[in-house]
Order: sequence, then C-alpha cells, then structure tokens
Amino acid sequence: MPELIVSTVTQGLLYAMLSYGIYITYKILDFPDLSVDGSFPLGAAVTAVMLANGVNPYLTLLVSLVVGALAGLVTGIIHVKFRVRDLLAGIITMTALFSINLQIAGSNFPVARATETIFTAGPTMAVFGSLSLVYRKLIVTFIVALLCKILLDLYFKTKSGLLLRAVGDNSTLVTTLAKNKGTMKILGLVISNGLVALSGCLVCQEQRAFSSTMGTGQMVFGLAAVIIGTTLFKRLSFVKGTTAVVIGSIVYKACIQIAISLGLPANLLKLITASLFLVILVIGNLSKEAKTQDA
Amino acid sequence: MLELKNITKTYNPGTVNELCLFEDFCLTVKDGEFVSVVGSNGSGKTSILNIICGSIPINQGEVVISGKNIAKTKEYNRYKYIGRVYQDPAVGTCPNMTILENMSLADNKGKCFGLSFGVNRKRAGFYKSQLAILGLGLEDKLETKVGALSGGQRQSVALIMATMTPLQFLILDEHTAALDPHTAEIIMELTDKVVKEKNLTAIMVTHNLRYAVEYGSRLIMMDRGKIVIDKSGEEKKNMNTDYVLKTFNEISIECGN
Amino acid sequence: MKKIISALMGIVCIFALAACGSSKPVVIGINQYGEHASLDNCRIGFIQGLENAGLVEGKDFTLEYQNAGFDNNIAIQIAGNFSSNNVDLMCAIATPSATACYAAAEDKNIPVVFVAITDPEAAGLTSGGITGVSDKLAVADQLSLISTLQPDAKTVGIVYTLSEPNSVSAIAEYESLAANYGLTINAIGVTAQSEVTQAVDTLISGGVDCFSNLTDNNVVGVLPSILEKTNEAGIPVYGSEIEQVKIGCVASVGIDYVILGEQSGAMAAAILKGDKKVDDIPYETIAEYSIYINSASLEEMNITLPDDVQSKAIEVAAE
Repeated sequence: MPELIVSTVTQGLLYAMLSYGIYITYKILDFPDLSVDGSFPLGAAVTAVMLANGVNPYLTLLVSLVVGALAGLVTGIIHVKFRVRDLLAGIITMTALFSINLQIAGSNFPVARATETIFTAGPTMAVFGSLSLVYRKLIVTFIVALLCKILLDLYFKTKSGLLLRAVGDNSTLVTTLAKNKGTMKILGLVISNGLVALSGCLVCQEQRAFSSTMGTGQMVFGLAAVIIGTTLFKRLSFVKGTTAVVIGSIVYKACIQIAISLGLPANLLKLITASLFLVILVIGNLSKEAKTQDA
Repeated sequence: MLELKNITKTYNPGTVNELCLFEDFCLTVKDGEFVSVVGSNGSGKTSILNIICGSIPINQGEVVISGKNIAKTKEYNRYKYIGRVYQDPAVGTCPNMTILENMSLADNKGKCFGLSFGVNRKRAGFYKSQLAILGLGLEDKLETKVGALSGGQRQSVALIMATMTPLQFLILDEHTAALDPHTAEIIMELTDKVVKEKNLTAIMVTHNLRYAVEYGSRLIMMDRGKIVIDKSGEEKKNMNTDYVLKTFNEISIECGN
Repeated sequence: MKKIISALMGIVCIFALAACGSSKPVVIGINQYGEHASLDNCRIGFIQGLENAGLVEGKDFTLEYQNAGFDNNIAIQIAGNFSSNNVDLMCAIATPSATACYAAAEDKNIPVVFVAITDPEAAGLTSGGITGVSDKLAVADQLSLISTLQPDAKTVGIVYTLSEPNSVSAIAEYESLAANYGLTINAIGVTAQSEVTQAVDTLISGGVDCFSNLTDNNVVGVLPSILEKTNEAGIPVYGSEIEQVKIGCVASVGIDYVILGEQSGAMAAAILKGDKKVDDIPYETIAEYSIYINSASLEEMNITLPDDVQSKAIEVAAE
C-alpha cells in the first residue's frame, strides 16, 4: 500500500528539477519559457543514446544539464540579441528541438533492462541494494532533487543570484545598477533549461525510454506545479520557494493518482484532476485571506 | 564635469508628429553644482536626463563626462558613474526583496556580481548608519520587504541606494512628484542633506518651482528645447518664486497655452 | 491544508486496500492509451480471449480498466498504480502504455501482455516479462489491393505522425515496396493531431490518386473529417483496419482488432492459468489478413470490384 504513495512521490520528485526551472523563468524572471517542451525531451534523448553507448549513468546527469543549458542559451540569445518576444523565442527553440531530438534518438529509443541506470548501477546498489527498486527510485531521485534545491537556494543567496531576482522584480533597477539585464535574463534561461533537461534525463532512466512526444505539455505541468506550490505556501519567505514547487509537483501527481485510484470513469480523469486543482487553489487562497483577517 | 555639446534630437522623424526638440543644444554642469531644471511639459527637461543616461539616442552631438564622450556607451554602462532616482517610488527598489537585500545590491554597484554571498551582514552596521540619516526609523526594519513600505519610505531608500557608492553625479527625475506634500518636503530636505554631505553634483528636474528656487545652486528653465533662464550663485539666491512663475506664464502664453 | 491531503491519501489507501483485498479472483490491470474504435476493440477482444479460455469475469478474474487519454504521463501513472497494487497481470493497449507498464514491472513479477504494438523490436518490448500480439501492417497486401482496385492510380498519399515509431517504420516499408505495384508514395509527417487535416489538404491539391492510412492514432482520431474532404474531392481512402472501413473508407487489408485482442487474451489466460510462463511466449503477429470493403463508399468513388476480390472480401455494414 505505501508503495503507491512512494511511486507517486517519486513521480513528483522526478519532475522537481523541471519545477525549479519553471520557477526561475516564470516566477522569478517573469518569462514564459516554452523551450521547456523541447529541452525536457532533449535531456532524455541524449541520455538514452549515451546509456545505449555504455556511458556512465551518473555522467548523463551532468551532460543533460549542459545540453539543457545550451538550449536555454539559444532561447536567451534569440530573445535578447534578436529582440524576439519571450513567448516566441521559446517557441522557436522548442520547435527546432523537436527535429533535433528526432535526429539524436529517433521517435522512440528504449533503454534495455540490461543497461545500468542511476537506479541500478554499482554505486547505488552498493548503498541501497537491499531496498526494492521502487524505494531505490524514491531515494535516488530525492537525493538529486535535494542536491539541486540546496545548490539553487545557495545560488540565490549570492550576489549573482540576488541580481537575478532583481531582474525579475524590477529590471529598471538592474540597469540603474550598471548591469546588463539582458545578460542576466540569458543566465536565468540557461540555469532553468539545464535543470529541465536534468528532469528529462531522470525520467528517461526511470521509464527506460525516450519518446519524442514526451515534452508535450511539460510547460503546462510545470506552471501548474509552480502555481499550486506557491499558492499553498504563499506566506513563507523566499527561500522556501524551491520547496514549495517540489511539493506542487508532488501534489499534481498525487491528484492524478487519486483520480486514477478512485476508479472513476476513465474519460473523466482530466476533469477530475482539474477539479482537484481548483479545490487546492481555492483552499490556498482562503487560508491566505484568513491570515490577513487575523492580522 | 558634464558637458552636452551641440545636441540635436528629432522625435518621430519623417512622420506627421515630427518634432525637432533640440538643435545645437549646449549645457555645461560643473562639479559640485546642484542644478534645478524646470519647464512646462514638452520643454525637454526630461529629455535632457534621458539623453545623459542614454535612454534615448541623439541625432548629433556629444555627451561628455569628465572629458570622455560617452555618446556611444550603452545605457547600463553609463550608470557606472551616474545615480538616478525616479519619479515612481516603485522603480527605485525591488519590492519583493528586503531593505537589507536592496541595500546589498546597491552596495555592490560597480563591482562584480559573482558567487560570493549577496548579503554581507558585516555591512549591516554601515547600512543602518546610512538609513539613520533619513531619520525615518528604517534602520530597524532591515528585514522588511520593501513592497510593504509607503511611497515616501521607498523613495528615501531609493535615494540612499542611489548615493551609496561613489558617483560622478546624481540625477533626480521629478522624484518628489508622486509624493504627498508632507512626504515630498521630507524627501527634498533629505536630498539636500545627502547632496551636501556627499558633495555630489546633481541635476534635479522638478515641477515644483518653490523647490527649484529654494534648493540647489543653479536654476535652469527650459522652453521648447531652449534655456530661457539660467541663474546661479548670488543671482539665484536672490530669486523668488514669483519671478520664475511670471516667466513661466509668459512663455506659456506665447505658446498659446 | 496538509490535513486535507492526508485525508485524501487516506481515502486512496482505503480504496486501494479494498481493491486488492484478499479476494481470490486475479486482478488484471488494463492500461489503454486512449479511446478510439481500434483500441476499444483490442480491449473487447482481450476480455473475449480470456473468456474463450474458460475464465469467468468476477469469479476467476476482475478487471481494472484505465485509459490514459492519449497522455504519456497519465499512462505512466496508471502503470505505477497497477504495479504498486501488485496486480497479477497488466494488459497494455498501444505502445506508450506498454512502455509504461514494462517500466513499472521492472524487478517485479508482474507479466505484461500487450495488444497492438506494430514494431515490438523497435520498442524494445520483446522479452523480460512481456509478450503480446503485434498489429504490423500488411503493406504489400494493401498496395496490391490498391493497384487492383485502381489500376490507373499512380500516387498514394499518406499522412503520419513523425513521433510514432510504428508509423515511421511503416512508411519506410511502403516506400520500399510501392514501385513493385507501379505506385509512388507521397507522405507528409505531422507532429500533432491538429496538423492532420492540413496535411490532407496539401496532398489533395498535390494530386494524389488515393490515400492510405496507417494505424496512426492521430490520423485515425480525425478520420471522419478527413473523409469529408476526400469524398468531396473524389479521392478514395484505404483504411488500415475494419473500423475505418465502417466509418467510410472504401476498403482495407486489415486486422480485425477484436481478433487481435482475442489472441492476446488467450496468451494472458495461459499465463494466469499457469500453463505457460510469460517468457516462454514469443510475441505473435496476426497470421492472416482480411480484406474489408464498404460497398457504398466504393460506389461513390466509382470503383468496381473485380470478381476475385469480391469473393474474398468481407462486406462491412456501411454507416
């Protein structure tokens, strides 16, 4: 029984990096970045191909970060240097990446069971070998998500991180502080898409497959996770933002799982999920109002 | 020292709204001067500021700061030696960040924004002393989000932030216009205090003729891109608002306002 | 807030407990990728196949049917649900569901039986606790049928989804065999269902003599609107299975997906009864293809059936 909860939480954690990424671009930079729909499968595509070629699965984590960062760089350059609107810049990158991903891994690329992933490779088995695969997936994913969160939170405390937050909060001030806000935006996109691709890498290893359609709707999912998370935890101070979006991601997956488990008519799945979101958001807003009334 | 040399600026060239605002416009501001610029809307006073800061391009001419022509320098690079306080209190600070974080940002102006810790708590004492100048009690509210402060408080913080690091000169862009009379008075007094204490060169654009007369060492009135009054030193000290107002009305009548 | 989530989770626990309680019937989880006629037929056939083998629903087995609404992520969570609840067998209908079930069954002893994967080799789903029946297209037979019914035809138009591996490999086969029948293929790849009708328009104006469908979920999903256009232009459409001919395609060399499902059901029954182990059953393809025709559509397109085709063909009840 708890296994269902474990697998649902794992699903939420797999997408935690994607939520961090969208948190950075959407919440902090106020930049709706559709390239996410392309950089997520990009991470998965390079991971699938690398694993099939015997590359160390832990190394694929780093490589997907880098390729994702490159994708973000492209969007940033298109937006800042070529002055294309934020939404369109992301769409351009996303569309281009669709073809690029097909070139890298074809339309589908399975990862054979014999191939080691971060969930089954030596070092993981050495430490967690006594646990079943389901629990190993949970713990390894949790470690990656936690590491990313800690690094991200630390980054936001640095001067560069502070400036990044300023760009999204008041970009005029950044110019007045003699810094190029365009460069900071590009930096934000680079970090964000790197994280998104990392999510893609993890999902590919967990599912043992790359599919060229796996990026569709990830931006929408990420937005939902960020909005649910930040609404539920509105009163907490900034640093908790990263925690909030991870929980938002888990809550989203949990809502779907609840709808599945309730055994209700299959076609109504999406309607039920939407209703659950609505309930959560309303509760979040109510608690915010109650707080202000108390004060 | 700031020199605007032979500035020509035409708005909307080639359209029905074409307006040649500045033609061979010249202005020199010496170190240590506190210049007030007044004029009706469209007289070009805000345009001067934007030309200095690089927000708008010029067709011809030079903008020279301490002997260096910065006409080709990008806007954000110009702010290395310029501080600016805007009319809208919301533009000078980051609302979702605390006073401490805002001050830390401003403190780092001109230096590298790298991976060292953003908020240097050791400097908190310095920030408090800076805020104490304002006399508004903000030095005890370092952890408050700026968005929670009133317009006047935000503008005061913006003023301190703009003047925290060494500047060549300070631009004040109608910075009291959006405040109520009482708060505006406080900000104006603070501005004067800060400018005097730090010995800054300042250019202040304002609609308030009284401030223009009472504060600063030089008064300029603009009309349709030209300077019609330019008084400094003793002459300025002996000016009163009536004289300025009279001239203001005269040029307005001439324009048919 | 957290209390409410815990409460909801608690309800989930109760439901799931009730579901996998201590009842004797085995639990079969059906993970169907989405609802359209062919996939529904797979499911109906699968259940039929279990019953043909003597298993009775309610007594010997219970079913948990979920469809993923053509959403990969939901297919993954459905598979996760089945795996966590330790169902006795997973039935996966269509490739994305099969991939998800296969991943969820890793390191567990849950056999997976798939229905309707065109190329199990390419999908990596041939061994390791998985088996099933492939709905590989009878490309050669279809081309032969087209050249028989339309001897003057030169070009065959095909719309397919770029990311569906089944479609990509089918196109490759079409293009390599077409010349043998005096035909050339004009194929357009799309990325989403919304682009399909546009692609059809392009092919119509490009002057194709007929259309042929693959088992492409996106194309089949909008078949009625495609038929509206092609009927107006007087261009026949050859389907890939019986349901499409029922909807209005002129003819098809195809698979009866109910029969396909039955074949999978038989495999599943053998596994559940303990007669065979899943790894001992290699995946199968349908042995014989049928020819389905829709007389009304044929008449509309002015196509007359040669006698030898007429005798072999199965008339499909027109709409």
